[in-house]
Amino acid sequence: MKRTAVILVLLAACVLLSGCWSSSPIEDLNMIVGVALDSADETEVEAIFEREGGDYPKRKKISCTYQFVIPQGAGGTPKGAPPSKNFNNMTETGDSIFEAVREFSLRTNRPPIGHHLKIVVIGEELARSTNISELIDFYARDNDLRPSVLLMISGGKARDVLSNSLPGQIPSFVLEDIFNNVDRNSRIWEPLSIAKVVGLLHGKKSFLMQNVIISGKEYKFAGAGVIRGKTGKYIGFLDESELEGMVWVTGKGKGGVLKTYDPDRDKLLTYEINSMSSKIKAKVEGDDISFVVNIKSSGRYAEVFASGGKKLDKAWVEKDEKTLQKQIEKLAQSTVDKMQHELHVDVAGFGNSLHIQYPSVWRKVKEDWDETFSEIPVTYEVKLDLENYGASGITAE
Amino acid sequence: MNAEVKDRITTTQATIMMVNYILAAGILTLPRTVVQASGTPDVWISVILGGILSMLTGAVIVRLNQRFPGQTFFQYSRRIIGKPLGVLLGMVIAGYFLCIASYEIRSVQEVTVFFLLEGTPSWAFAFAFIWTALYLCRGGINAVSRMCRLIVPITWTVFAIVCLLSLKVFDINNLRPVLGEGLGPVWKGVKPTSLTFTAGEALFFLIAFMDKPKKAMRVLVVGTCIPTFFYVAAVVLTIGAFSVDGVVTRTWPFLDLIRSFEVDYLIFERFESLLLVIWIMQIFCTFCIAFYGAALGMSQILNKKFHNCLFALLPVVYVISEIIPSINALFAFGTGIGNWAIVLFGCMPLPLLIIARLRRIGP
Repeated sequence: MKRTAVILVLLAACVLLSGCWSSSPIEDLNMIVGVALDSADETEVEAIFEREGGDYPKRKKISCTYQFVIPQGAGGTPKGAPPSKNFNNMTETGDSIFEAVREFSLRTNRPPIGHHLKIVVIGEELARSTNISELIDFYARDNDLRPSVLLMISGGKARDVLSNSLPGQIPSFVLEDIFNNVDRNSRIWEPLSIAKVVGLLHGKKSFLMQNVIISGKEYKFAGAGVIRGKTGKYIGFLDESELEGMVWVTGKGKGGVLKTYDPDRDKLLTYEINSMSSKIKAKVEGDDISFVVNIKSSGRYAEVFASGGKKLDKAWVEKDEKTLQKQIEKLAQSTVDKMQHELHVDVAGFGNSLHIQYPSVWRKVKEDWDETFSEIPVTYEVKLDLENYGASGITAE
Repeated sequence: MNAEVKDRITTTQATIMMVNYILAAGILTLPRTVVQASGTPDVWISVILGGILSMLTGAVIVRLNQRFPGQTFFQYSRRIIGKPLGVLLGMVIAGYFLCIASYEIRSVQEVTVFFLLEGTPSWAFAFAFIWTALYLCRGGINAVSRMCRLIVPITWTVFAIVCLLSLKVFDINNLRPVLGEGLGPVWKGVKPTSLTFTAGEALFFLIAFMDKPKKAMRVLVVGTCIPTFFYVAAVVLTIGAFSVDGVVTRTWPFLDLIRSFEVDYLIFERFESLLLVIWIMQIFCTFCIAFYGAALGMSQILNKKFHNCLFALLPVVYVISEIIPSINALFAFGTGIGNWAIVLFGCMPLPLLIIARLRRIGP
């Protein structure tokens, strides 16, 4: 009798405990992988919907484009057939980003879910007119969306960035993965996740966002957009080479290329970066603040066109090191110049260095730091080590 | 069962119970509450100070208990300050344990329903939680302590892994400058730690069960140091990832820390579900110990059977947890419990100890 009871309980447990209260099969979900936010610009589909009565009260401010993945069969595409498009974009124009998401529930049977959102691209035009913290409020608050979502800015229309891709690829994934190339190219800014940006926006600190541009079906990471902390709006742009300078100033790069020309012979000299680091030292004398940027790097010759010398020769290497150091200084200087005299913001962390080294001085200047920074002298100390010359000891003729 | 305590636990068991009792839902919000109070990145010092302070107040409780070997506070309080006052104080402390239990279950409900099991009604979750706890507590202190010992290796390992992985988003500059604003803000950050560090009160009844009550001080010191380490790690890593400005904007900063990175090429890509599931077990332990304490107090004060008290308190715990109308009320409730703890366990034991000395009660 007792045994029967035990067996019954166990059987009941098997049935009752194995279920999941609110489960939904993965193939019935519309997985959001990317979002593009633009200033209001309705698509044709939307215009027709509206004409036919599919409209609701809203201020037309933002066009949200959502990218969904189309689940592929386990076997992939049949042999011989061209790879089909495996994503689907839908646009909703309105003022509430959340309302726009829920509006999709009128347009498709599968509920959109945000667990796998990777990237939010914001159009430059929208970023210029709207505080970023308003745009990301929903993304930072929702329970499905994770703070690891990356933010980017697009010089053109953000929607186009998500619609262009080579066959078989999903644009959002490609964009996310390009950030991993930071060890191959020093013109990529560190990925900016929601987790990082909430603090910057709340602390009213200026910051950079990776910029992406498109041409035809391809895109390219190109420079970075500058967001002013006080307003949270887009105010300008660092181009590729200025971003490279920024990477040197902050020491955030992990690899890449540094190119210059031999001053005597006007021959190309390319250096592959192995490592870089930077320390910004603040100096305070009385009321005068100044900064010294201490950049260190080591790497190897990648391409050398100048002929005649032996790379094994110490004097030769030292001369090349000096040439490269000058190039780094030039890059850094032009970036800091642009920050100080054109954009009037500090996005390189000079303020942080001052805060860490002289907390009491920082308290006095922090209110209007972006403006104060524009007047502060910055000097550079660059130390570069050419450690290796690759497999050829002698240069090309 | 109720008059004399027959079950015995070893020193190690008691220590592990201490650790499990202290580590609870507080860790999920601690980085925010301390930063809100102090406004500097130095709050990890506040957390350490909080740990030391709770150890000091705990030491008084240990001394007090050692005067009455084999007896819980609910039994000996009337001998110190007379029956009416003693019973009243015992009731207040039992009520406190009840509130802690309710607070824990409500916090775990809020977090789980929001992050983990969207769509599952919270009562379904609470019922499973409370019933299991009831079953465990009926087994006595040894069953509870074995449960604690069982989950320790699991929770510690997962916690350590998750913390190490979160170094991916860690930036040391967010924690600097150290003491840039001086010690003033650090002190302000100590008070909010009182809820997370409600430690000593478990000793009010734990010591009575120990086979070697002389070693109670060791239980206190080790049992407080380990959670302090966990809390400091959580606070440092969370601030390192979010910065002081960012932490205050997050409702559950520690969980958001785990949500803010993805790991490639490891079995899992995301760890928040894993951590949450594991941490529910941790909260379950705290719940059981607090619930056990409340029921024990009730049975010893009213001289009723322990099992009956467990059943009587079961609906009460649930009702208290359901009365709380909103998340803000929950946080306010937590702060309230913390303040209550400061009075009950920070200030009260010392006068009691002095009275006991003066009246020469106890050995």
